[in-house]
Amino acid sequence: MRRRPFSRNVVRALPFFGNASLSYVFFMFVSAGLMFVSAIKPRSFDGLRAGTADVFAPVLEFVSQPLQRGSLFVQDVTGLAALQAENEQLREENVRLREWYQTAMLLEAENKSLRELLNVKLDPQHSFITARVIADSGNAYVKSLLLSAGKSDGVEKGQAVLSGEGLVGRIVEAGQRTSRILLVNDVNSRVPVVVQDTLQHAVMAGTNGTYPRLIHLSQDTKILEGARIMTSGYGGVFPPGLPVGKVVLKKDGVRRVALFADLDRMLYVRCVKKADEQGLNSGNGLLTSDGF
Amino acid sequence: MSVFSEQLDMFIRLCVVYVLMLVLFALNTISLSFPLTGSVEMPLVIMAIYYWSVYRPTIVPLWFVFAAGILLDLLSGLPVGLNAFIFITIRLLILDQRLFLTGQHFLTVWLGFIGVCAAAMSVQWILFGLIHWHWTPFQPMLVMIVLGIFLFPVVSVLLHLTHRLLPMLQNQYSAVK
Repeated sequence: MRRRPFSRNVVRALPFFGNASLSYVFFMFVSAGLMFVSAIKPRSFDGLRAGTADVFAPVLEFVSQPLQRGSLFVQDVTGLAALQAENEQLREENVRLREWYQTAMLLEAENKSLRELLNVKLDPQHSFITARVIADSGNAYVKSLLLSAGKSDGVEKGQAVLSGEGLVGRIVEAGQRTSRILLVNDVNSRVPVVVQDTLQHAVMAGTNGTYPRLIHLSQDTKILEGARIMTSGYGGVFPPGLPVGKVVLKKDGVRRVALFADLDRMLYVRCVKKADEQGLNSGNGLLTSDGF
Repeated sequence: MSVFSEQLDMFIRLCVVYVLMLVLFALNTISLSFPLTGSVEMPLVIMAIYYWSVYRPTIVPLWFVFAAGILLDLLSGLPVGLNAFIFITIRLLILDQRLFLTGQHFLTVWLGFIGVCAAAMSVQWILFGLIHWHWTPFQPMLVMIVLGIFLFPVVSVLLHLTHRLLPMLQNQYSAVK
């Protein structure tokens, strides 16, 4: 009588595997082992992820472009009804901003002369690297984007990322040609912030939903709905003063943040790259004349 | 037809099959944005693995399924090994039921996919929660399952068209491990 192979006996002795071959058992244990390593040391595979993204970036970019354009087209078409009202609102806002611009220029000149008098050390100026969003590589569990810029373009791990409106996230993986952003609404995202009006410090924690929540608030907090939130610079991860969003109070009573950046509709973002520190007596223009 | 030309013909036909799977893989890594649930992915790779495991398991050998899972984990930011474990389990379970499924109407196969997709998404949600010790909202899972249910007929038509390019196996219903 032909005897069953030893490997088959081993597999049949294990629960749930029934008639499976040893190769199934092997691959399942390897997968489970990799998950265990990912759980204990999440950063173990960062280099491999960045390399894989570099290799697959051209395919993802090719496939995602029609989807991105289609999505923007649908959003544009459905937004036609609101365009006129938005146009009128923007005209009024433009008139107000032009008045404020003149005031701001006067204040800037006064500020510059006062700094020179007091020998105040300025925060180092930042430069930016503009990159295109290749693909929204996030999902229901991980909120992330893939960018078309990498180490060869000056992108580094840990850099903050901005859209035209506000903070988007930070670089968590940087390959040679691509990099990955962890969005601020991801469950693993923690951003030290400050309320602009009251200068109260907090931490903005992502929830994988649309509105991150504010945590580590003091007991007697008096943050009002609509208050502007900026990065505080604590921890040295995010530069201070980057616009983040506005406070909203939801039905559950938890203070959350309505982000300025539209995370579902971004084609280009800017990675904040720190420049060399400025000298003590050199003045720095706080405002530019762009757009006015 | 010479042996070389037959082999070349078969190679080209297989390329069409795998190019379609590559496109499905690339589309799987891209998220769609939905109101109230945010961005979710389409479970296209699960559809391909399910279809080929039922009708032609030699197209998706075990190492291929494992590699696809690892690549998907690396590109989508999930813990490495998560999708690989799920895909291997799907192939194992479908091969066990293959003799029943291959002779059934498409509706039965579709129902089978619904069960597989729902189970796979649920296991993925549970494993991710256990790894990160944080339970993400369940609504995106439901959206992914519903997406999978409605997209499966469309994707299976495409897969069937590529299947027709391949010659029939001599022993179509042999259980392939």
